[in-house]
Amino acid sequence: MKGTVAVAMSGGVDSSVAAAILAEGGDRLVGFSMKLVDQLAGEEERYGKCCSPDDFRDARLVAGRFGFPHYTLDMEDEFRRFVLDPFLDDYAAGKTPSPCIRCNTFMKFGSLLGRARAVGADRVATGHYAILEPDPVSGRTLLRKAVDETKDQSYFLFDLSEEQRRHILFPLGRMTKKEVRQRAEEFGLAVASKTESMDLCFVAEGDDYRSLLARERGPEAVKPGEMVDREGNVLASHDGIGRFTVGQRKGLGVQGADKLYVIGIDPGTDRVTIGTGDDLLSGSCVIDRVRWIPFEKPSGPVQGTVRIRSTHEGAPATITDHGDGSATIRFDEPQRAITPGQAAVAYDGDLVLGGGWVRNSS
Amino acid sequence: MILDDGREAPARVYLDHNATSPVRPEAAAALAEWIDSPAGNPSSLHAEGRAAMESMEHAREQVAELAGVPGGSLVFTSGGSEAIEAAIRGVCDRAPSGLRKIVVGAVEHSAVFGAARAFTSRRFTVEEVPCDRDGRVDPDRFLARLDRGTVLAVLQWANNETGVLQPVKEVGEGCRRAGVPFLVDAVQIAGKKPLGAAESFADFLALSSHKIGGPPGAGALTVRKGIMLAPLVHGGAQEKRRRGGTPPLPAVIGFGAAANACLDNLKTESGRLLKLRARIETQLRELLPEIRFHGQAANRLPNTVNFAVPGIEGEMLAIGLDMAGFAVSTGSACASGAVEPSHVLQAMRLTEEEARGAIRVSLGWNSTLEDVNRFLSVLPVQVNRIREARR
Repeated sequence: MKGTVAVAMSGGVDSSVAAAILAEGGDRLVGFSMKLVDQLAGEEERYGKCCSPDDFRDARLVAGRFGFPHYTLDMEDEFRRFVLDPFLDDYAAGKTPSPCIRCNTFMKFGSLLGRARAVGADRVATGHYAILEPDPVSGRTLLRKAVDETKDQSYFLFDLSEEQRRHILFPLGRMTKKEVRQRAEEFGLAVASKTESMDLCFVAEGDDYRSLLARERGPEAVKPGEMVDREGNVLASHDGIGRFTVGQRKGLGVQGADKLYVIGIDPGTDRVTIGTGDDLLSGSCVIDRVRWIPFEKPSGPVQGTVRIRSTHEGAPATITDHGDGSATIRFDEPQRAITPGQAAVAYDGDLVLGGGWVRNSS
Repeated sequence: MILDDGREAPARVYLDHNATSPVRPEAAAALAEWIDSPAGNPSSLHAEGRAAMESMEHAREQVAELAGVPGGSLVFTSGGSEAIEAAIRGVCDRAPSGLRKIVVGAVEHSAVFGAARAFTSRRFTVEEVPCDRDGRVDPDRFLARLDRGTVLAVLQWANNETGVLQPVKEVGEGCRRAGVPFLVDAVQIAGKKPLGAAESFADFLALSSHKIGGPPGAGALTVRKGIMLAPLVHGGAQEKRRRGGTPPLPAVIGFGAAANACLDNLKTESGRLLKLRARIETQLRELLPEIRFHGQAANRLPNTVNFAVPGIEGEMLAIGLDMAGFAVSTGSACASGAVEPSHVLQAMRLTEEEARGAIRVSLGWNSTLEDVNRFLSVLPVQVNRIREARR
């Protein structure tokens, strides 16, 4: 007999349809919603769109509709430890963090998978758009892009271990968003017309990271500094490096800025360096905490298409694993704004080869 | 329900009577009778109204008898929280300007804290009297907090999470000597232990219908004769102007029938539950020697067990038990469904982590030896699975 499946339910349309599809298929289910931040503790929408009581209620109603139990788990402490604190640390260090990846690795497929096991469920299902399938040759679990490339979330899932991937179900991986909405209507789910949740769901709309940083770490965490050009000439001042990311063009507050970009952030001196588009180009970068998916370690340099941020289309590159957890990525053509703190994820067509975290570029 | 292998799923085992006790058959019958009745307004002069008034007054006598007070002193409310709020606000609203201190126990229900703290914006102070590690409030320490500026004292008779009983008689007698009005939260004890002549030491008693096997939506506040109370709901002249609005008649009638059913065999039922509780405690101690019982050294309600298995999170254990067909509680439920560590257990010096391990089992009128035995057989299985999941 197949074991129970734990469905991570945000109350949104994707996870609701994922749950409904599994329920329809006869799987024995238990629904979990993760309370990651305490929206009731402060003013409204203190932490963006994440974890509102209404979402939990929606999730609970969907579970009730399909006759399986649903629980809201208080995971605030773990979220702070694994996602929120590292996110703020990265900003304070002049990096541009990628918290959604850590939220997948440590929360949905970390803590939540552990709790699922504690109640006798051996797999976790989510509404992610990506495909997991066993490789009959190696026996490993392969990660592929979703059929609906516009919704594909494989980039955010590269950092899952084989052990994690083996215990995950993505029922929506082969569906388009349109089909998912259709299914929601067919199932009569009230969430069918809900708006999309966004990346960085825990940052309030219109808020920038400075105010989050100041609120969580105190006002002294946000220090003013100088904006300089490549030669070190001071162009302007700024009120905190947390609002800048490499490659940023908007909101620099410098004359003639429409052709200028942030090309570097130095947390030691709180300096933001401004330059031209050409200054942003680099041909290679080093990544840390490298994870390979179809194999444990490559036998030599790996050719692939590498995406250096979630919105990047990908560019041909060669990846050389150094065997110490780091690797060097050499792009065939120089790439714009390879940003420390972001993930570089390598693909062979729709197959995710692996990835790592950008340390620096050159 | 049919299981995957074709067997019929065993009935669920409900062990959460301190949260809500299922409606007793006697209360259900009374409710059904009301639905079939002409259902007049008790304030109306016609025959239908008079019949409704008679049913309501009959229920009032039944609940008053359970509370050990004369019927005329009992005001129906929408529930326990309203009864508590009505007493606290009713006293504080009328308080002379020099009386600004409310003395409460540290392990009171949030209905007490919520109502009392609402007055801090009006320059009242709320003083909490700490309890010991077993959840007991010392009567002398409590009484030592009373002074000339004390407007009201509040103490629960029994705690909802641990079942620990408080020395309400000693405290009440002391309050009366000091001339301080005394509210006893009797929500959890009512129907579980005989209350005796509570009027001799309590000025107000709060009770709730759904905790004793009546329908939700009704509660009662007893008000000692001669005490004036500003009404919470002004409305009309109902309840002798002590609570405006038409009373929720079906809930009130069901409340009366449940109270009557409780009174019928209170002593034998109390003894029966005590035996079941003792079985749970001795067996669990054998099955899980590392188990910790909370409030163990204190006198407790016969139906309540609160325990933790070190290293096991209460939330996961309660979820596993629910999925296996057993309803238990981790502590006070929260509106969003997520669990905050219990303020009661933290007042008993448990760390936040220890408090997060707590499980409350509360028995009631429909609990059987078979329920208890099934619970005892499934609990160690759940505990082991949580341990294995961590490896």
